[in-house]
Amino acid sequence: MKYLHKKYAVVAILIILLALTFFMAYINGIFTPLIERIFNETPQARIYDFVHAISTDNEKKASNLWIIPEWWNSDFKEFDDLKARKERVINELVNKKISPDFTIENIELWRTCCMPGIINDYKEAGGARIKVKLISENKTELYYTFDIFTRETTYFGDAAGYPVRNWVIRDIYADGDSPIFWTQSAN
Amino acid sequence: MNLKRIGISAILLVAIVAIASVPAGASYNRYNAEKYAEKYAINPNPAFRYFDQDCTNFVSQALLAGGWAEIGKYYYYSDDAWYYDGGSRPWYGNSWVVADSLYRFLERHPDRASKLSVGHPYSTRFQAGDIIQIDFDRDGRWDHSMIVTGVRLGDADDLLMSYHTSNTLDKSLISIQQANPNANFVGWSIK
Repeated sequence: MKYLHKKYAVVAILIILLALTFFMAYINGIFTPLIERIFNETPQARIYDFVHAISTDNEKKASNLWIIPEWWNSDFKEFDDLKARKERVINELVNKKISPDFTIENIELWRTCCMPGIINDYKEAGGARIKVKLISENKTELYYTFDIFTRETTYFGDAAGYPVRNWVIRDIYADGDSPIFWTQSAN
Repeated sequence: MNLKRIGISAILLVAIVAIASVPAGASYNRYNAEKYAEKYAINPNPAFRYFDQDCTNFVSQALLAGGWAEIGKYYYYSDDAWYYDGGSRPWYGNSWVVADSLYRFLERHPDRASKLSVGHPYSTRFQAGDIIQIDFDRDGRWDHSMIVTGVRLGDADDLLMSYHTSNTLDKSLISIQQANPNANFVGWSIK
């Protein structure tokens, strides 16, 4: 009987230690990359969803994926420009009957807190500027840049324990056009 | 009456009063804060953990060097907590390391800082050791924290800012504002 009590005590301690280890790992963001992958929270997944929506003529879904910043209103001079661009680009891509296949040409990661800047470390990124090659129905190559950011834009990375990111498309523009949402210069 | 109970109650009462009376700190030593910021703006102090997004951690260290007392240890998410419990794997309050949390902490503690708008004339409104924060995308969340490490007087009327990420010493505030024309700025006169 005494032996059984000891055995249960050891098991209980082990479970507590394991739980503590998982808790520490969680608050330090060790599981964040895994959780983001499981829940498809990556900039590339957003592009995939968008391109597939367009290629199946699902304008509504494409429009839902491209989210005008929630805090923008008519006080922001760029608000109307971004809304107009969104309508125009979605329309354009649907009319060109783009293929669901796309190629990522370049990824530029952005630090979105402290002074914004271009970085190499995906773990710390709050934004991704991704150049994508799309193919139209008549096999023309089309180049668009997707500006995809965490919903709150500001991402403090390791200082905040690597919280799980929710990536959102904020802007899409053709080669030669300028961004409207993220106009920061790299500091 | 049970003397033991009275004794314990008295001790508890003294403890509660002592904890509740945590002072903001001795009056702020701007010189010390400024010197700390100048010393560690480019090369961070190895006595503190260095984060990849280190701006607010750096500013908090300078405030500590200027004499601010820590408060609310181990209440990580509280806007009333500001602390750093050292070591290689430190415990620290959210407001120590996250710009928006520091903003809320300063708002809730007018005994420690007064909010100021950021504009001319800088030199009569700000001093070395004061803090300026930036909201780049105007979403109401503050993204960056900097400390004043110099004041240009007269016609030059400018402030010199030091900050981390990326690590910078004595950069003109006017140049920062010009580089970020769509950003919102807020200042804090530290007491």
